[in-house]
Amino acid sequence: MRADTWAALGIVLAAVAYLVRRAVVRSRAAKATGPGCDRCGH
Amino acid sequence: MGTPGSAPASGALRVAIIGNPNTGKTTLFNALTGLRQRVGNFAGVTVERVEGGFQMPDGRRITVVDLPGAYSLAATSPDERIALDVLRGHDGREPRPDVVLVVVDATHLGRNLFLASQVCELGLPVVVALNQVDAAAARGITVDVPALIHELGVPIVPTVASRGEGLDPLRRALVAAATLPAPTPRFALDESAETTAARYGWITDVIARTVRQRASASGSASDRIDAIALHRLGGPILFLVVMALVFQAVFSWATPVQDAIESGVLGVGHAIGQLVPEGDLRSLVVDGVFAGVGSVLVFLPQIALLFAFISVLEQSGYMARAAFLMDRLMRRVGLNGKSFIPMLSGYACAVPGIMATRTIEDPKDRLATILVVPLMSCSARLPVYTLLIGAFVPAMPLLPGLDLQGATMLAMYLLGTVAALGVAALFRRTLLRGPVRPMILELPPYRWPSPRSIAIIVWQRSVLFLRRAGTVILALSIVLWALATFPRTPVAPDAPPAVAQETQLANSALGRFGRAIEPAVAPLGYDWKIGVSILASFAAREVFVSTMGTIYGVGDAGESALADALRAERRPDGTAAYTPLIAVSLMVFYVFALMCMSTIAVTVREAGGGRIGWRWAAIQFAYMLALAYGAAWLVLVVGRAMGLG
Repeated sequence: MRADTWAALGIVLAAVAYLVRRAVVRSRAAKATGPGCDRCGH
Repeated sequence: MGTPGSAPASGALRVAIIGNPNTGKTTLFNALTGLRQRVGNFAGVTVERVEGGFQMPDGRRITVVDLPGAYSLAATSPDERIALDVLRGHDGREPRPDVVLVVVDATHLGRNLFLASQVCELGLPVVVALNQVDAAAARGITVDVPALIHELGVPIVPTVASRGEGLDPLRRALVAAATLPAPTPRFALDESAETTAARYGWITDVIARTVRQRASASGSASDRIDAIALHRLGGPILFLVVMALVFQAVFSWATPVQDAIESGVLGVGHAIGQLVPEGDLRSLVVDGVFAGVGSVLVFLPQIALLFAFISVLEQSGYMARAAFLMDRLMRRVGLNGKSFIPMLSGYACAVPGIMATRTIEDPKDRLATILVVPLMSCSARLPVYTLLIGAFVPAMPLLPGLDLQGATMLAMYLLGTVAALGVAALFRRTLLRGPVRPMILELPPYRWPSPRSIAIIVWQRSVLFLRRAGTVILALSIVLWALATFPRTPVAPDAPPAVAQETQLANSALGRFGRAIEPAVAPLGYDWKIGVSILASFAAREVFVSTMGTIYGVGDAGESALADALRAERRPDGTAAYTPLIAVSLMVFYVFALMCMSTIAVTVREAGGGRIGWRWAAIQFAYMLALAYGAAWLVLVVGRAMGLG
């Protein structure tokens, strides 16, 4: 594969890792302090 | 004298703020702590305890807890119970406060003194903030503060929280009060008829000795406005006109800024495309990030305007009038007007709307309201409506100040509202059957909204919107780009670029998945691209727009705006893939569908938590999905029967 394809796939993996981490953090936060909305800040 | 108060030997002094609803508790809390909690000119804005703090010049730290409003110490609704649990030390998360700050409205002192006198009997040091003394003076009301201090036996500080007046004396009074004994109880702390009558008798005497009111020849400005705003016929017409103007303004005022952002995003994407060599990285940046995130970013002006208008309605006092106007209609569906305030809050976001149901005393009323609040179109639907209306609905003038685009937007919001009333009626006649309770609602005086407060809300919401675009929507756009790009499909070298990209997209992981789920959305007239975008938008509704942006970024050889790409999309037979009828059907789907994890989570908690909470959340999700699918299908079938598409 070309170098720019590797770079693109690295960014994709980072995005997937971010989404998974976000889901875990939000799930823990919801259990600890209740659900919130990051759209309106509640 | 009662039990002497004692300042905590170490740590921060804890002050709890309590008072009748809409006396300015949160405004005072914000002024004391520098925080920016939501405020509004109607009862029930604060429904949970919020903590902040400030530091005295000597370095002493004061922790302030803002509590929901209450009319007495007999809690009847969940929000009032939160307040009482903190004051009585029954809240397991924190100790009893060292000092209670009672905020009383100087324009309604008699009514406010009922709670204040009860709080004085809790055995805690008390300070009273006599708030809104400016409004009282404007109405010719003069309060003899030294005499009132003598009557109540607690420190009283006149304040105007909205202008930050009286804060320093109040801070000093709070610190000093911690070392003073608690006030002497006058009555037994119960709600018996005898005690209540005796308490009101005492309050009447106190008011007679401490308050002077100049005779007024005519009614107040609020009364004069209410003669129109609450008129049986004029009131509902005014409400519709206000809502029509709001949605028309959201559509037309935002357009120039939206066009500028769109040009900017396309320009920057194009410039970066020139810098990065041809290949996957450039495609990721231009077709994934810029097409996906950029297609959502352009709706920032609409979001800002919507929140500005909602803030004006909340702070002016019109929200409570809308609830009052709707009371008769709400009774027919088995609720009362009080349920309309959480529903109106749902126009901004369903999460605070569902939390605002804590002001509703009856559990069945409250549950029915929780179940229908997400039908009110929230700000997350705005990008979907705006994209589809902008692409497929002409700006044809209908009435002075209202065109077809604004009317279509208004129709979507009204459809959600009418459906919420219908579904509430159904729940109240089936699963949640019970008597309709009368509504007691305080109509606050009209106030000029504070430009600073509105600017802060618009700024906060805009930052949150941009943060979402720069985080979750960015990450999803990148993932969707990968799914739309891989695996590679060999195409004939002489194939035109548009055909090559369309072939690649159709054979990508996203394309194959989309075609697999296409039969589920085909009855609604949707193709696989809409199907995939709907599915992706279960993460967040705006993701519908970014997914379409990414799909058309990857599959489109040119660099056009998303609305243009949607209009230009053709089926294999050459007919338009998306028609105005399909756009309306899709908007109707979004009016009804529950696509918000936060809403589901807050429903679970507020509907009782645990298995009961999950059961109601499942009922809510299922009925909304069935309604969305059925209504979108009906729009298509009826529209086609009428020869519309």
